Amino acid sequence: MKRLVLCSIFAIQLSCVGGVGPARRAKLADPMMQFSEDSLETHRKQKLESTREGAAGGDGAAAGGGCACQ
Amino acid sequence: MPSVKRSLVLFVLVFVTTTLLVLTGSAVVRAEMAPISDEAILGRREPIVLESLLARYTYFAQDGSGYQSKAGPPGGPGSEWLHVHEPQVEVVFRQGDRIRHRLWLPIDIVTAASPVTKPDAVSAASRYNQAVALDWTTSYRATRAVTLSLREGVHVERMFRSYVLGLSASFASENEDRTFTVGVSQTNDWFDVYDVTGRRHGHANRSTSGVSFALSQVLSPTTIGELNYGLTVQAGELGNTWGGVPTNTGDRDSESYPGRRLRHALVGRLAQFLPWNGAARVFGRFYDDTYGIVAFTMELELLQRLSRAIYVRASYRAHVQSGATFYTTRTTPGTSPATADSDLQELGARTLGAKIAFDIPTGNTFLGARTTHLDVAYERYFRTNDLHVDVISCAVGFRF
Amino acid sequence: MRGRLPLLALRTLGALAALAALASCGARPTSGAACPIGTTIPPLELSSIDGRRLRVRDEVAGKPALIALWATWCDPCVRELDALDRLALAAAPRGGVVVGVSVGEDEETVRAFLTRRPVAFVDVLDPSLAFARALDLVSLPAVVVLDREGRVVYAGETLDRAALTAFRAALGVRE
Repeated sequence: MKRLVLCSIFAIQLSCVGGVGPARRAKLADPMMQFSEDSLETHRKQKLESTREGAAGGDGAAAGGGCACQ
Repeated sequence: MPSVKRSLVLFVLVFVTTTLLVLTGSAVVRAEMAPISDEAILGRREPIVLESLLARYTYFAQDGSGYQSKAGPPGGPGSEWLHVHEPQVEVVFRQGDRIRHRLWLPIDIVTAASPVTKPDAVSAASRYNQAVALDWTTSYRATRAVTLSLREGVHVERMFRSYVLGLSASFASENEDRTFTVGVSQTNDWFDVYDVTGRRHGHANRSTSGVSFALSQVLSPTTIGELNYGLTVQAGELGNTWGGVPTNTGDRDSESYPGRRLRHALVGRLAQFLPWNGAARVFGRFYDDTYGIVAFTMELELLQRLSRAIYVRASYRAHVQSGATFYTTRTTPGTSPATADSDLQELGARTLGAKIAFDIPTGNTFLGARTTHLDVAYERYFRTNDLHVDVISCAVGFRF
Repeated sequence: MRGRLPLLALRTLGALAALAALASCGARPTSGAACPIGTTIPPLELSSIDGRRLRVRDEVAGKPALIALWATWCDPCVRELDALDRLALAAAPRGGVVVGVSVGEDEETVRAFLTRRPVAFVDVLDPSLAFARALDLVSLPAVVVLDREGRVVYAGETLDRAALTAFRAALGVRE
């Protein structure tokens, strides 16, 4: 719990340094910084997981488990 | 007099020459004066402009065993051997300044061990199963800050139809550092009902309704984070209907599921650019549902740019989940709900992967594309309850 | 395993709560609004891509000008470069000038890009965003049109019909 509080304080301090703005996003625009490099790859990953783990899905991704779709 | 005549001739010559020079000169000036009209500068306003085209092929090779499979002795686990070929194509195009469309067409060709065995409940004629889907998302940028999206999709298999409709709205902060997205979706499945002996019993329906909230935040010029919460309610026939459960009498009974399932998923993502031209991405997910499954997933990806056009990625994912309360490999005949689906068992899973990607600037010289993308990836997925999958994927794409 | 999961869940929630705290405080708004009409551009000395030190204000003195803020990583900016080239060539004989300002990137990155894809207008470097911030322009792409007196007569997001109309008016030409 202590760690959690410390972590939260650190996070808040980090975040309050000011806005970034669109003109300073050279690094963020790199494809390496996209959470999903392309949506077809996201689909293939979700497909692998959602048909093999009952706990997949539920967060906007395809829901898995209890269905034999491969 | 002759001098007057000569002067006149000279005057005419000078006049004609000057006029010609002026005319030619102005023509030259006019030629240099490139037009400055909207069309001359901005180009002809095309109603549809192609933005990107991407094709991906993925091959999944699965092996292992599970109690749901009928490709094995009654009471024991059967083979879950399975191969899938999956080509996908995605086209993104703009319609005017505000509307963007994404068309996505995945095709699945599945070869599985379970349907080959008798009774062949899934595939009456063939051990192969093909599925095709078409998904169309239209985004409308209402203002600089607000984007609305509509998604429609249809999925067709030999004995299965699925329709999805989704709506979402994104709101960006004034400096575009923060985006909040809320989305709702409704999926309706309609499929044939086969029991464990392969007998057909008409059709069944399944409804999946979801709502999700996502908040993404640029934290620094090199850091971005995202939080996502999703709630899903499923109702109707939630099983595949033909799956088997070994019974304590040494036989095999049909699986049965609760008529309703509520799922919560909370996801956090963080991406950090690293000083040596690399990046680290972290993904954490907590999941809970009314089947009694609680799960936790963690993923770490490390990326390294080797040159302006090439980067590599290494990834590791770990997943642990508790089992559904009604998971069993020895049921009493007639017990409901009961499942032997190994996906719903208590399990752990690991994925190791690697990828190399090329984004080659082609400066409109190759098919008019500014950038050509190529990538190749390999992943190995292994589950603690006897299942592993090898995945090979490659893609080629063009950004215009 | 079920015994371990609540602990894992607690840790996950802790991490996510920290991220939520991060997200809730992240953006102290830096204005994304375009610069006010009537202001003049700052007398900042910047480096041009051909190695000169210059003031954009001197470069455009007495001429109607269109200033385009862009970056090599910004897709909509790069898509505009063809139109900016055509505009630079069309404006020059009419007494106008187009100036590109490369925002937030170092000289090496911009030079490498412009070697592959040369432009027909003067490009200056604003790696620290000093020029962009002085005009209150933090979004990319951004376009500003100046009249002969160096006053801003138009500010917008992209090189579109509205920007062109404003630039033609500043040049005193009709379509």
